[in-house]
Amino acid sequence: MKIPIKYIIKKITLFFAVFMGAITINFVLPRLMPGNPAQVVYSEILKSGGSGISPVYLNQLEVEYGISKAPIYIQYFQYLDNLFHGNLGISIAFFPEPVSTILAQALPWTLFLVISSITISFFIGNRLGRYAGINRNTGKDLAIDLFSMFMAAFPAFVLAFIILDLFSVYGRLFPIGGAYAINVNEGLNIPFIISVLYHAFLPALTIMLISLGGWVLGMRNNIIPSLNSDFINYSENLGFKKYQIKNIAYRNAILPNMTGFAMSIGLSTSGVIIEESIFSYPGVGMYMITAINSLDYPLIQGIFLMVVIAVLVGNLAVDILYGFMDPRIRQEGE
Amino acid sequence: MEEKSNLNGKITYNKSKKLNGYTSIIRSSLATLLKNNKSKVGFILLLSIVTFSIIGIFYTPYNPNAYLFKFSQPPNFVNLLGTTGYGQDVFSELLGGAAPTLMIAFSVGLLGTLIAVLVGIFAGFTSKTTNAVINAFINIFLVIPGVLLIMLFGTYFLGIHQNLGYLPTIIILVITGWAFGARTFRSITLSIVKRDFILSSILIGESKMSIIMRQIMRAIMPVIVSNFFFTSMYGAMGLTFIEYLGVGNVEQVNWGTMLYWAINYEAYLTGAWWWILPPSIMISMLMFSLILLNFGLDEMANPSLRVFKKKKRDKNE
Amino acid sequence: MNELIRTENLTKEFETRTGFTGISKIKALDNVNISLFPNEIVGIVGASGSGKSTLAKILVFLYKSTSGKIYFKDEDITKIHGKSLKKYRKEIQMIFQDPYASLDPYHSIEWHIKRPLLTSHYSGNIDDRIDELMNMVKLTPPEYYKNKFPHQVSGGQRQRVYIARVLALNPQILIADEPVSMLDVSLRIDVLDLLSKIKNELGIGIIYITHDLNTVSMVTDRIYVLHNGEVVEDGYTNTILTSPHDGYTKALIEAASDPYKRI
Repeated sequence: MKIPIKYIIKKITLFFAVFMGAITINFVLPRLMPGNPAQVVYSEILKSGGSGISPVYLNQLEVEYGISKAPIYIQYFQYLDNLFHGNLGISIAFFPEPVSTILAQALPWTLFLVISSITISFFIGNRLGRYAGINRNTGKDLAIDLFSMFMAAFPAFVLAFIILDLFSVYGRLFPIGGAYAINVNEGLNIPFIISVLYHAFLPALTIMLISLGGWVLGMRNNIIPSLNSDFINYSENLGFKKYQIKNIAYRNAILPNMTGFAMSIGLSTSGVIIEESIFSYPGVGMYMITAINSLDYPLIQGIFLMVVIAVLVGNLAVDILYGFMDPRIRQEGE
Repeated sequence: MEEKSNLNGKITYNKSKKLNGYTSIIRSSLATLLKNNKSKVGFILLLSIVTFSIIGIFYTPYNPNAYLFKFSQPPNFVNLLGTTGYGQDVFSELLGGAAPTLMIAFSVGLLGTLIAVLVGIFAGFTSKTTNAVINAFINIFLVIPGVLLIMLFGTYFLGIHQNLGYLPTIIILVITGWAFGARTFRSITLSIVKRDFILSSILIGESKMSIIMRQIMRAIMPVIVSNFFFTSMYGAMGLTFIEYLGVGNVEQVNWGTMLYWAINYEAYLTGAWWWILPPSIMISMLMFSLILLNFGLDEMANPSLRVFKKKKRDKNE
Repeated sequence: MNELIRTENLTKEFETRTGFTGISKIKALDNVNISLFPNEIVGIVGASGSGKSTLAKILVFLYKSTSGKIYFKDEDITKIHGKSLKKYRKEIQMIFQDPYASLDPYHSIEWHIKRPLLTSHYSGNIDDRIDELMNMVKLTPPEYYKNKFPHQVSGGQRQRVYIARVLALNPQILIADEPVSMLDVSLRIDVLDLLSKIKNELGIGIIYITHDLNTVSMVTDRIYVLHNGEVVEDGYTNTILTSPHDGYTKALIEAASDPYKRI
C-alpha cells in the first residue's frame, strides 16, 4: 500500500506550527496586560471582596506566573519547560487544586458528551440529508431544509434554556444538572451507567439538535451533484438496483463530510461550553465559565491549551486518515 | 459612451461609463436574487429587519435604558412586549438594540470578508513557499477554536471596554472569523490560476495586480458575496455569545445584552418569556434571512441545486 | 543563421513518485532540436503524450526546461527572467487548444483584444487597431462582435478572437498548440486559412502542433515528428508524407484517415 509520506509529513509539520502558535499566544496574552497579571488577579480578588488574602499571596502569584525580572525569552523557556512537565499552574477558583487535576477530571465528561451527541447527529443528519437530496424539490425536501436552516439560525443557548425549561424545570422529566446522581457509586455498575445516561440525555439532545442542521444541508448539497452525475444516471441502465445506486451516491457524498466531522468534534469541545454551563454538566465547558467569572487565569489558560491540542490532534488524525482513503492523495503523495 | 484614448495609448475611461457598469451589475444581481424563491424570502426578511433597525435609530416608545416601569410585567398596552426584571420596556430595547446588532454583524462581515479575500488571493497567486507560510498562518487561526480565543481575549481586556464601545467586540470577532473565508479563497484562487484564460493573461503581459483586480475578482464574486453573508452570520452569533458570557460591554443595548440580562436574571426560570423570546427570535430571523440568501446564492451558482417547476418526479427516484 | 527560434538538446524531465519512497523520472522531451525561420509554418506531429504540449509550454516559459538551450535569433534565452522575459514574451505568443477555456467568460470580446494593446503600450488609435485586427481575422462586422461574450460565439470564432488577441502584440513567433482539435471539422479550415494568411502577409513564424496528419499536410512547410519525447524524423512536409523513413512516421501516416480507405 502506498503510504503518502510527503503528505503526512506536511500535516505533522502544520500541526507543530499551529501548536507552537497557540502556546505562544497563551504565553503572550497575560503579558500584554498593563501591569503584571499577578497584580491584576490580586486586585480583582481584593475587589470582589476576597478576604483572608495577604500580600504574601501576591508574591506567590508572581512566582506562579513566572513573573521574574528575567528577560522575556528566559521566561518563555521557563514557560515551555513547565508545560512539558505537565505543570499548568494552580487554579485560583479551586485553590489549591492544580489545573491539570481539574482538567483530568473534567475532560472525560466533555468527551463523552461531545462524541456521543455529534456522532448521533452526524448519522441522523446525513441520512436526513440524503433523504432530502433524493427527494429534492419536493415538499419533504423543503420541510427538512427549512427545519435545518432554522436550527442553525436559532441561538444555541436559548435552545438549551427552552429544553431545560420544558423537560426539567416544568416537565420534571429529567434532572436539572450534574453528571450523575449523588446516591450512586462510581464505577462500571449498572445504576451508575444508567444515571450517567439519564443525566447526559438533555445536554446531548441540545447539542444534537443544534449541529443537526449543518449535516443535513451539507449532505444534501453534496449528494445532489452526484445524483445528477452521468455515472449515476447510466448505472440504472447497467442494471444496478435503485438502492445500490443511492448507496453509491451516498458514499461519494459522505467523504467530504468526514473531515467536517472531525473538525466539528474539535470545535464542539469548546462549543459545548454553553450547554454544559446551563445543564451544570461538570465538563471542560462549565469549568471554563467558572474560570472566566472568577478570573482564574491559570485555569483559563490550561483549558485553552487543552482544547487546542484536542482540536489539533483530531484534525491531524482525520487528515492522515483522509490521506489513506482518498486515492488521489495516495498517488501523488501531495 | 466612448472611451477616450490619448496618444500614449493609455485609456481614460469616462467616469459615467464605469458607473454605468457598476449600477448595471447591481441591478442584474438584484434581479437574479429576486428570481430565486429562497433568496427572495431571505432578502425581504433582511430588508424588514433593516427597516426595523432604522426605525429604532430614530424612535423608540420609551428610553430603552430607563427603569421606568414595574418589574417583569407581561405584555400589555403600555409595554407592548412587557418589561424586564429591572423595569425597562422590552419593546424599546428591541427596537433600540436592533441597529447596533446589525451594525456589528455587518461590520464583521465586511471586514472579515475583506481580509479573507486579500489573504486568500495573495496566498493562491504567489510562489510555493509564501503560499505554504500563509497557509500555516490561516490554519493557526482556523484550528484554534474561535470561541476560546474570544473568551481569552475577553477576560484579559475586560476593563478597556467602556471607552471603546463596540470596537473591541468587532475586532475580536474579525480576528476569529476571517480564517474560514481565507481558506476558501485560497483554494479557489489556486484552481483558477491554473486555468487557460489566466495563463493567457500572463503571457499577454498583464501584471499580477491587473489579473487579480480585473479577472480573478470577477470570477469569484459570488463566493465573495456568500462569504460576506456567512461572516455576518458569524458576527451576529458571535455578538450574542460575547454578551452572553458577559465579556462584552453589558451596559449597552443590543439583542445580545438583552439575552445576557435575561439569563442573568434567570428569566427562564421565572417564566418571563416576553423578555427572552423576542431577542432570540429576532436573532434567529436575522440569521435565517442570511442563510436563505446564501442558499439562494448557492442555487444560482450551482444550477443542479435549483428548483425547476416541472412535473413531479416519478416515484422511482 | 536567421532562425527565429532554435532549440539545442532540449530536455525536460518530470519526477513522479512510485511505491514507498521511489522517485522515477519521466522524460517528456529528450534532446530535442528544432528550428523555426520567419515566414514559415513548422509542424510538430506526434501522438498524445509525445511531449508536444510540453515543448510549447517550455518555449513560452510556462515550464522550465531541465537541460538544453533555447536561442531566440541567436541569443541564448534559456535562463531569462524578469524584464528580459517580459520583453521576450511580446515576441512569442501561444494559442491554446481549448477555445472554451482560453477566453475569460466574464469579459467581452473587445476587452480581450484591447488588453494586449494596453499592456504593450500601443501608440496608435486603439479602437481603430481593434477594428483592424478583427477584420484581419474575419470577425466582421467588428461592431457586431465587440460586445459579445465568449459564450455567445462559436468555437471557431473564439479561436479567431484569440488569434486577434495575440496578433495585437505583433509577435514574431506564434505557437499554435492543437488549435483546431476541439473544433468541428467544418470550422477548422477557416482557422487554418487564417494561420496561412498570417504567415504570408505578416511574415510570422508559426509552430503548429498537432496529432492530426491531415491538417499538417494542409498548412505546414516543414514538420518534425515527435515520438516519446524524441524527434524521430524531420524535413519538408511533402517529402516526409510521401516517403517517410522512420517506422513510427509510417505508422502515423497509415493511421491518418483517408476518405477512400476501408479497414
